[in-house]
Amino acid sequence: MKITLENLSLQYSGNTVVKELDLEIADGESLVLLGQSGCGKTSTMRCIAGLEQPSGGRITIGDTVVHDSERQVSVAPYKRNVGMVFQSYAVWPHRTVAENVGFSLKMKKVPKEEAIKRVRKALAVVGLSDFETRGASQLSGGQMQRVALARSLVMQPSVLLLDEPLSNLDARLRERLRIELREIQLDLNLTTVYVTHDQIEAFALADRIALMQHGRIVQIGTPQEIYAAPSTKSIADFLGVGNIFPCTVSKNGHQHVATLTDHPVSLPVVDVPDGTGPTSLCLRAEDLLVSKALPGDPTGPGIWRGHIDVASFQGATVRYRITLEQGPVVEAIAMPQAGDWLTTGDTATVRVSPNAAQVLKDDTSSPVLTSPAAATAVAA
Amino acid sequence: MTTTLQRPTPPPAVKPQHTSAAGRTAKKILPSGLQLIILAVLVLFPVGFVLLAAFTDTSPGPGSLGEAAFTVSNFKVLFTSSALTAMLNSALVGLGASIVALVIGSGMAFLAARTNVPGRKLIYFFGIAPLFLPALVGALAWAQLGSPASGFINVVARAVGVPDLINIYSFGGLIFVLGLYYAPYTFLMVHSALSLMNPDLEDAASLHGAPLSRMLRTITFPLVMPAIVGSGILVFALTVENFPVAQVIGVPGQIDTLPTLIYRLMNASPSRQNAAAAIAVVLTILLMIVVFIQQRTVAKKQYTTVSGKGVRARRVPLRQWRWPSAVAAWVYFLLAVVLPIGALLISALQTSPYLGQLSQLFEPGALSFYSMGQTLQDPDFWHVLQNSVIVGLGTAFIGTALCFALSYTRYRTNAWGRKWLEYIAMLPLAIPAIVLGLGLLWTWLTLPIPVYGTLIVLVIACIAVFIPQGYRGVSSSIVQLDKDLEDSAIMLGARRPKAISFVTVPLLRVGLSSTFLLLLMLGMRELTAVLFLFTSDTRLLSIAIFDAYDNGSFQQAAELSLLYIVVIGILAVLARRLGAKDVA
Repeated sequence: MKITLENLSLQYSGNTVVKELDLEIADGESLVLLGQSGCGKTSTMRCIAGLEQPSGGRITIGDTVVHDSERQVSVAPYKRNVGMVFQSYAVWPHRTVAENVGFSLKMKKVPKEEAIKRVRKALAVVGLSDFETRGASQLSGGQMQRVALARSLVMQPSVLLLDEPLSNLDARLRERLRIELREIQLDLNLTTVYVTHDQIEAFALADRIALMQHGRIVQIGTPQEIYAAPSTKSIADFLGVGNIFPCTVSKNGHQHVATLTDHPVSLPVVDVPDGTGPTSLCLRAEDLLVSKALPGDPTGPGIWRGHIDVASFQGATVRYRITLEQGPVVEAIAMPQAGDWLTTGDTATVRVSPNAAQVLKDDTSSPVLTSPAAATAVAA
Repeated sequence: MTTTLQRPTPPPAVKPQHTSAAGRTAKKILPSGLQLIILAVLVLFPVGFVLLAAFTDTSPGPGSLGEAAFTVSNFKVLFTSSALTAMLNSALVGLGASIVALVIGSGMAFLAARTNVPGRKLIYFFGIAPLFLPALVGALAWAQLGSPASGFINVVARAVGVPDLINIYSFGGLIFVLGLYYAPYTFLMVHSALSLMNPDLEDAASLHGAPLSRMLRTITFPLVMPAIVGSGILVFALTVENFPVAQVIGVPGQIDTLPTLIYRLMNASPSRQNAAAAIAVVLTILLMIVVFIQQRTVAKKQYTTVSGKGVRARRVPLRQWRWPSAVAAWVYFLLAVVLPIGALLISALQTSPYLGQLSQLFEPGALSFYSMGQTLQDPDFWHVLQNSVIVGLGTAFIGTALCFALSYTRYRTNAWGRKWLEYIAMLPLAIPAIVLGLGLLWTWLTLPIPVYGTLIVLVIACIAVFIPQGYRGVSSSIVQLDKDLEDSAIMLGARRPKAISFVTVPLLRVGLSSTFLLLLMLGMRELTAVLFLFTSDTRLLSIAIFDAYDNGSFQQAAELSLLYIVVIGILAVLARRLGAKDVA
């Protein structure tokens, strides 16, 4: 069912955690709320669930207004038919798997036989068919997460909310469950809201990503759009763009040229932000091509010579830190063929992929690190 | 993962709820408001009545409120020599007793937690065992051991030719007995600080080249210092407000402390209630200051207990001191538990009420169970025991429920005034039990609710005195329980009360049942708070013992004390059993 948030605000003891937020989530869509801890993403989700009372605004699920501050409407959370998977799983350790999963059916007074059938079905969906009578405290983290998911699916929720459900699992399990989650969501055509601070998870699960900072949505779009074109420097930084330098932009004919503020490096760029204010040049580490410097290599805009400080082998890729002759230190990720990767001390030629350089508005005052205010704000 | 669930069916249309602004406000204030009223009646009213009595010329009672006139003349009693002496005595006794308790408690804690002393586990047991001997019983036993003429120790000493070895009815005696029975508090606090300390901190010192003695001096002791200081101040507070020991040991030696002075003023004829109230106010202010300092010290303690998993603290080799320190611990156990129980046994079984010489004990027929059997057949004894059990169970049931409600409101809701709930619930820590008892007497005499003279008022008194312990027990386990566990039940369609009963209460059962047993034990032992509230029909075991002593019947007091120890011992064993089962 579709969800509409209009002008939603939430305050905790004087602190505004969510600020006048508008968001529409289509029926069957998977929307990911992405942001750092303290950005208000979990609070927004808890407002939809009804676990927090918004201080202003309206929330509609399907055709039902579940919260309207102006008209003093508030539907109790247990009546909203919203499923929620918690970060801590919140699987009840004193109950069996079947008792956990069947709880909502007991609350709805579904006849026993039908309830058993539905519990079995839900457990089959998450791949835990043989676990019915197992005590929930004997499960591993991944199994608990599956129980939590089955418990929410069995109630046939109008909307499924997932609060960083994979963050407590180890990396390999996380990857597998991520794909399974997406598969279930698509299979059931379930409207889901997924909260995470992990961009990879967001990219993998989302139809659309809403990026949040300081209680507001700062960018919304498909994963491809967000990846290709972060709208500000802080978003680029959050998304893990490795190379960010303050720069100024000048015009050379039709061609915009970005020049780093601290180093004698210039680069032609396609788009520049409107308006005035500081700007930054952003280059993804994977958009820098690194090769061993040969005597005849040209240098110029977008082709630099540098000195490898660190080469760290990461399996399929190698991550380099390179000090360019002009001064700046850049990060590059290369996928070298066996044997031809460079080592510390080598001289390298660094080429920027065509159109990879982006000039973005610098919305933070500190140079590379994001402002610590975001991290110290009220927990998400 | 190929099975498919059917497409979710739309839920039944939900009717939006329109709640009026007034309705919302009421909903927000009602639960916490109700609890605030209960706490006010339990705690604030008694304090108010004590203040009222201290600043007016009539003692509170039905109908007396109208004619009360403000006065400060009650405080003149403070400048009488008896009050000044009592104040000085209280301070000196508190100071002395806390030093004794600190030396014994932290010494034993160090032995039990961090050394290779022989029988380490046994020493841990010695450290806490005196807790199961109520201070009243310990004091009675020591009165029989150390009274100047007929105390058993003196009788034995005389038999080997040393006349007048000890006189327990003295300053030193009072400090000794208090220190003996409050050492376990220091022991527990210091022991937990020593054994919970993150061993990495000490290992880091060793790795950086500090020898053992230096590591102890620069890392270990500074880290447990807040626990030591905190427990010292706690013992000071507890001994200053202690009534039973001061009454049994101090008063016969003409040493009055503030609590015994209050008791004497109340029992004077005519009763000098206003003067008692004035002294109560002073004692309370004194205790509040001490408790405030203690809480500040303990709050700072937190950095010592940071680790948690797999703690295996280092042991200090004692070398030639191994056996002497073990013997010292054994001596403590002997003095605090073995000798007193032995003395009680002899007194209870003696056939002649007076013991002049050791040899008397070995005459045929000198000891007999006859009197004990008489007591056990006395319906009065069973009535008293029944009262104690009822009051204990009542305190435990109602107290645990109340403390759960308070902790839940404080930590799980954003109800109005929830922080005040905590402040008031913790307040009785800073109110001496004898003052609270005094206030409760006046409260329930004045309030038009006819509970005075019933067991209910005794339950109320016990709850009022022990709310802080119960509240702390429940709230410490509630904050450790993930809030999501309950919220997930709400999301799955349960109403809040159902979610609480299905998820939160079962998951808190360890915390709740240990709080229940703690309140049960405390309620069964309490004397001071109920001292002014009982009637001849509602006597408790503790009161019966105190009465028997007061009437000069040592033998009966000893018999009852022994039975009392048995009852409390059974409870303690039950508590351990239940606790162990819950943990498993």
